[in-house]
Amino acid sequence: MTSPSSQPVLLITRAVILLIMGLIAVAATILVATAAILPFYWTEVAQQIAVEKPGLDAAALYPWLYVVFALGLVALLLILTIMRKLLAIVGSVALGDPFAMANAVRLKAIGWLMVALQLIGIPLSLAAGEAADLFGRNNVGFDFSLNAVLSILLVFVLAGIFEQGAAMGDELEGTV
Amino acid sequence: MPVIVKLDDLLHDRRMTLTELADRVDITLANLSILKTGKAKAIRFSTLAAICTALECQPGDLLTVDPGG
Repeated sequence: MTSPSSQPVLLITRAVILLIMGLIAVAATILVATAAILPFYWTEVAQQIAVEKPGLDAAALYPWLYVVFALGLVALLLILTIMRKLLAIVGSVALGDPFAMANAVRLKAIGWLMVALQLIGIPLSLAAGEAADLFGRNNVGFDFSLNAVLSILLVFVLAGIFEQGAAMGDELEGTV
Repeated sequence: MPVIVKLDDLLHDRRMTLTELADRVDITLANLSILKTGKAKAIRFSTLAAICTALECQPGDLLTVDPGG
């Protein structure tokens, strides 16, 4: 059973997850819309770039922008999927049955999605770095995060704990 | 499951129904039914003691191990 004191925390967590999902949906929509509209206005954009950054090769920037758009969209979809699974786990906690095999499977999936997110972060930051280089900024690039690795390991350990918990729950259910 | 529960035979010998046993040992009919049909994965000592007291038998009368199971 969920203790009454944990209910506000669950409600806040649920609200935060839904807010993040909403922000991701908005960001993805803007990304797709920009990618769809940009070819039609590219001449004007290139002219504007030529005025503001005379040394910048707009033609070289174009493909990198689309690489960033595509990888960014994939990253957003990965985060959205993680959030959906997290929402389902929070829902099961609220129902008072968190140690279910379904949650262990969800946590494992979250772990792998986080791995995928880290992997997609490498080409994404490299592409963003290439685009930033054209603007004369070289502070954008791949940054290895120890926190991310620790978080992924923690999620996999948690998935194992949930798996054990679910097995123990099944055992207890069959005890008379 | 190699452990066989002989609750049905014991109840039959004592002309007792599962519902009557449930009332005497204070265990739900659903749980006793799980035990009787061999679907239980484990049995608590307290449950075993309660059933044995009610049926005036020993744990060995209730449970046997099937060597071929």
